Amino acid sequence: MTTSVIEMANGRFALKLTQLVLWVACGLIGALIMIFAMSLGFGSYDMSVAEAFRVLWAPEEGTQATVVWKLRIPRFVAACLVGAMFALSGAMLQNVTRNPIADPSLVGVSQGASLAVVALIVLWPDVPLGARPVAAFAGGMSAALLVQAIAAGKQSTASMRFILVGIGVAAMISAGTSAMLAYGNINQAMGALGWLAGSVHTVTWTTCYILGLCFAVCLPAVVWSARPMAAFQFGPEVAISFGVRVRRDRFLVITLAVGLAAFAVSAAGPMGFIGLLAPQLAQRLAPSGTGGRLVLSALTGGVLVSGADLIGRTIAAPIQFPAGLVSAVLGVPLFIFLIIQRAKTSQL
Amino acid sequence: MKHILIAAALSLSASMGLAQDTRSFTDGAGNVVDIPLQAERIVSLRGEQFTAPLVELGAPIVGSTGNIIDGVNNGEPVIRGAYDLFHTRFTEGGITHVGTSTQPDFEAIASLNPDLILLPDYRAEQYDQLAEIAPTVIINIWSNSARERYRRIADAAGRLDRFEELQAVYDFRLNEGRALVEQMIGDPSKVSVAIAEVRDDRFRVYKVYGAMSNVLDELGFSKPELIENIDGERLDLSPEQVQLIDADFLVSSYAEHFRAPPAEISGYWDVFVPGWDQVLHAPKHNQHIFIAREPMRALSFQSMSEVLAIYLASIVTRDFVPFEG
Repeated sequence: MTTSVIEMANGRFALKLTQLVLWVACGLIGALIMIFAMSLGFGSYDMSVAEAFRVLWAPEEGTQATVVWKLRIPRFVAACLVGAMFALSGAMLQNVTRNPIADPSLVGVSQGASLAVVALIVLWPDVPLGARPVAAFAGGMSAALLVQAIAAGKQSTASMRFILVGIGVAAMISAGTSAMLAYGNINQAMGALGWLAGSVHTVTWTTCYILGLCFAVCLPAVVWSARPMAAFQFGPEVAISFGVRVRRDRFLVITLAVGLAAFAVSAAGPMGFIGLLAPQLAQRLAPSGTGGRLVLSALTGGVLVSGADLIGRTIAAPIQFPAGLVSAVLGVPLFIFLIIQRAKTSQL
Repeated sequence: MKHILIAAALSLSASMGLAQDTRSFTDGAGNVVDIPLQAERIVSLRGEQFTAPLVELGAPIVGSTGNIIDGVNNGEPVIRGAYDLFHTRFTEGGITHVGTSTQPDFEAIASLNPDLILLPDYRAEQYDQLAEIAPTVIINIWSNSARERYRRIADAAGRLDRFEELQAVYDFRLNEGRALVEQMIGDPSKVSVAIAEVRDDRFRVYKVYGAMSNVLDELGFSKPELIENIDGERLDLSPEQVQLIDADFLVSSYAEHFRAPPAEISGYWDVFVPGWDQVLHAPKHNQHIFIAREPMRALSFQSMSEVLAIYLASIVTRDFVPFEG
């Protein structure tokens, strides 16, 4: 199969992509462009796609400009970034744990972030809104570090241990969240439930700038992670023979995955299935090496969340369905389909 | 020339009429917002807390949140509280449905070209987007008393005069009720009333619950100590704690369309708190009062007046067996 090589930093970083991966990547970028156009043109505010693009090129004061520039575009941008970050996180965790159903909730990121935000909403409702993303990030990171600390053990059983500890800690944290929702002020609990559904409904340009900055900061590390991840696929023993410092690199890759998911959760709340589904879909669309899989996962995640948000806000307007809910509803049958397909080929 | 001058004067007065006079308003979150002296196109983002009082005040509402409730209004969305108390409907009332309180449709709101948006404090995360559309005021729901909350809504809408009129009428009726209590009972604090419900496998007592608790407090009735000491508005109890809420009267709400029709309320109690009607004084002596939940929750003087009438009829003007607690 024909391959293309993308080199950076005088060849220190090289990404080898097959022609199929390139075509699929182009297809996903095309899908993103299409969703962007539809996101601009569709919504409860009556405006044609042509009008929306006119406002896009020549922004002016007025309701149309507000709708396009303050409501529609930030949602699309945030959805793409959140989707990409969840997907990258999932792809990394699936690689490190060598478990195809690993996702950010496995290491307690979603649960930790949820507990922190729900606690803030229910117990300290007077704390400024700006503290929520910080709490979500801190909660997600803390939970994931707790899982890592408890799971640290013998190398050979680390993956299984990691998964089991993750499930246990996540269940414990979820119980705390449920208790707070059950006993908190009903309206505060409802507010928290809205956040837990996972949505880009309230994002602003500030959210997009922060997410973009976080993504940009993480990107070099994501590029770096491709190398150890490629070795991890063969197991720790083989990875050591490739010169990879398994213990250290494994910790760093997991921390990076946790960081990406925590940033995404802090902006949009937990979104079921994106971290799980996007890497699986990417692998189905074009089987590829680690680097290609990361690229395709990120693009797939962006397509899934931005598409889910577009559907969620237009399908039954003015009722707005959160992107997390839509992605889960659409993701479940897709995920089951993937499992059945895998079972047929005896890969799972 | 004369015609030109008249046309110019008319044009100038028309343009001045379009530009509304504004005033500064400090909302519940401390935002200082320039709002119209008297809003003409209000969007309310909470049915029973905002839309209902705005309807009672006669304020011009162009949009409101609403919910689709199975079996109600032919499946069309309803404005909770306002629908039940005033039979306000979206189509007939010229009010546009703008989604749910949890996730309102910002674009639907923008389409209405509102001049004032009322947002509850626990949805403050929506403030930035809404403020881009129109002047947005955050109203605190739970940290304000019902009257203070209502006054703030009336003030924001520029309808304080109407609020004062309605309040004066209600206060007149309340004072008449207090006089009746004094005449029939004497010291109202000698009569204890507990608000409690069994719903969705929960046994819950309330310190604050719409007009039900508000009117009880204003009449001066007492509560069981456990309820009085609640830090917040409600508390879930274990069925084993049922005796802690014993009182002269027990008040529960019912709602036909929320899995709690009056005919089934006792059944829920029987299942979750077996023997409750023998343990508790109020049901044992037919002193258990039921009040319709949705109208009761609508923030309005009409709701308070209706609940006041129920209490006067069910507690004050009847013979009852006192609880010897």
